[in-house]
Amino acid sequence: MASSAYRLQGSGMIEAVGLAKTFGARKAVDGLSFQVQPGVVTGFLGPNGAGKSTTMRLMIELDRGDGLTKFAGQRYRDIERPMRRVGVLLEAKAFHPTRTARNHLRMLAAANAIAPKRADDVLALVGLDSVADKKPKSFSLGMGQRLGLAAALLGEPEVLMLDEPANGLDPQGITWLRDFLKAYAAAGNTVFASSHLLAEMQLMADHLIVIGRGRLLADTTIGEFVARSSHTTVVVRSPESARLTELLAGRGAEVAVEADGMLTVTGMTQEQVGDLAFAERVLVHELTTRVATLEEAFLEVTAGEEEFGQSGGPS
Amino acid sequence: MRDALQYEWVRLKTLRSTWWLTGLTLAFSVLSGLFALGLRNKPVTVTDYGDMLTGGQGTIDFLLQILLGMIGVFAVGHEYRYGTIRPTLSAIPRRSRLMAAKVIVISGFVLAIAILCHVLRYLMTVLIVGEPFRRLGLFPGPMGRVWFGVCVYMVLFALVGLALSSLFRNIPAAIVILIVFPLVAENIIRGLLGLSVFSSIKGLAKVLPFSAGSQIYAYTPLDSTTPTGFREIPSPYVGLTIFIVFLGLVLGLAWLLFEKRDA
Repeated sequence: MASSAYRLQGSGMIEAVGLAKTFGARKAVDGLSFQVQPGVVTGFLGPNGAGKSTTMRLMIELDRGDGLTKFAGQRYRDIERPMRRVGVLLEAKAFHPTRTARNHLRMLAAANAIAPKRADDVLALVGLDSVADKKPKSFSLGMGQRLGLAAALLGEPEVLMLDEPANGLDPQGITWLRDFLKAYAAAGNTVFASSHLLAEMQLMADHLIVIGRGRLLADTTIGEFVARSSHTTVVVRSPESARLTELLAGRGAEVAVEADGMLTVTGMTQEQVGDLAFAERVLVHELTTRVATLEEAFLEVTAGEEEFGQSGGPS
Repeated sequence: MRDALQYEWVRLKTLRSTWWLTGLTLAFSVLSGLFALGLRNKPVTVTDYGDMLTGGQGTIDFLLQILLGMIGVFAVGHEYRYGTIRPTLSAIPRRSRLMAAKVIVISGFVLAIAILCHVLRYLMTVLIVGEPFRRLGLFPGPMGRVWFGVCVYMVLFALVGLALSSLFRNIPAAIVILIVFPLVAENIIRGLLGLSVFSSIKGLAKVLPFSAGSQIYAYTPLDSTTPTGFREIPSPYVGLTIFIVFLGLVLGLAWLLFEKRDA
């Protein structure tokens, strides 16, 4: 993919209020409210069936439901030429198989009075310039995803809303996407992206919105999200581990003794453990915080919120 | 609205099926013009002129209607078949604006092709038959109405296709209805209404929409061999009105659901 080129934007805050959608008796989205700020990448997480895609469709009123979403103060349908303000990628391979990639983009460009030449620019940006005149019926999932991303970028929007943009991309494509979206947000734009690739999201996102069964579970920075996890622990090595264990337990911390004698402490910060050891004159050789991975924190927060849970391991 | 029209025109012209359907329509039209070979060296009547215009008793015209009707079906059907409805509505979120653009562009395109078809047929006939045909003039007898009728009916037929594909979000279902209803279902109903047991309601045959609409380009009078149920036909302009009302109902329902349903 080519190097990114985009204009400086700003003020494209997204504000969703009371989004709700039911399919029969099932609530797919249940009174969801959140804000997405410009200048950062906001990740949108949730287990399968949590309602992420439905939420995104509700936001731009492709699905009919309750609630309201405003993009920089305007409903999507009220934005004249919306592709110039909000770039949307909802699914890969949403194109006619025999219409060339260039014509697909020119068609969408025509709907928002975007110069046809812009189609070539975005095709080059996403690395599809060599197949611009090819029929996309033979495109891989990753190529389809790039074409969808090119469509989202056509109008040089200040808001990007992407559903699983890394899906099907090769490692180089994922790295490019991460760098691109971070830089795009850093230029003052708003980037709101869902992904099930948690390791990737940990590298890319600054802020997280986590949902389960259509309800908001977390709306916080990625740092706070993982710090709050019980998997974020303090690891202590001390020649007086038995005494230290007793002292920590007395302060309400949970302490596990590892096989190598290391103590894993939950419920106290690194500073609190250090202060206690100093005050009680306990010798400490090592004191570190082991931050939970996004995956650990996510699994903890969404435990019991899966729409399609597994019944057990392989037999 | 201009943007939506622009979008729909680019959508239509960058679709391969638009051009093979148009090509086939024009090819069949030219082929049906060979009908004129049978008119050489004999007196040419107004009925011959009608046969030239409609491809001979309307059979060829039904084929042309189906081909152009498919352009209408694809206008919405492809959006759902290939999932492009979401990018499309992301680009044009005001759904009525999009639907209106589709109706306008498809109407204009089909009308242009229909006119071209009949101009081609006319020129072929003039070329083959020559002076006797030219002597009849451009619109002899009811032929002005037939000229107008075949073109308008094709446009309305294509719009029925568009409405059906929007209603069912399914291309095969729309095409099957578009073929089976006028060609089979209406004839069966018409035949049944001709039975003496249905004599009190035989007048219903007049409002069968496709048969009623096609009266706008009818030029052959009924004779003693016409079965009872097939005698119940409205006048050309009443028939056209019935067909327009039918289209209004189908398109209105499709439009309403297009606004209300999830994309």
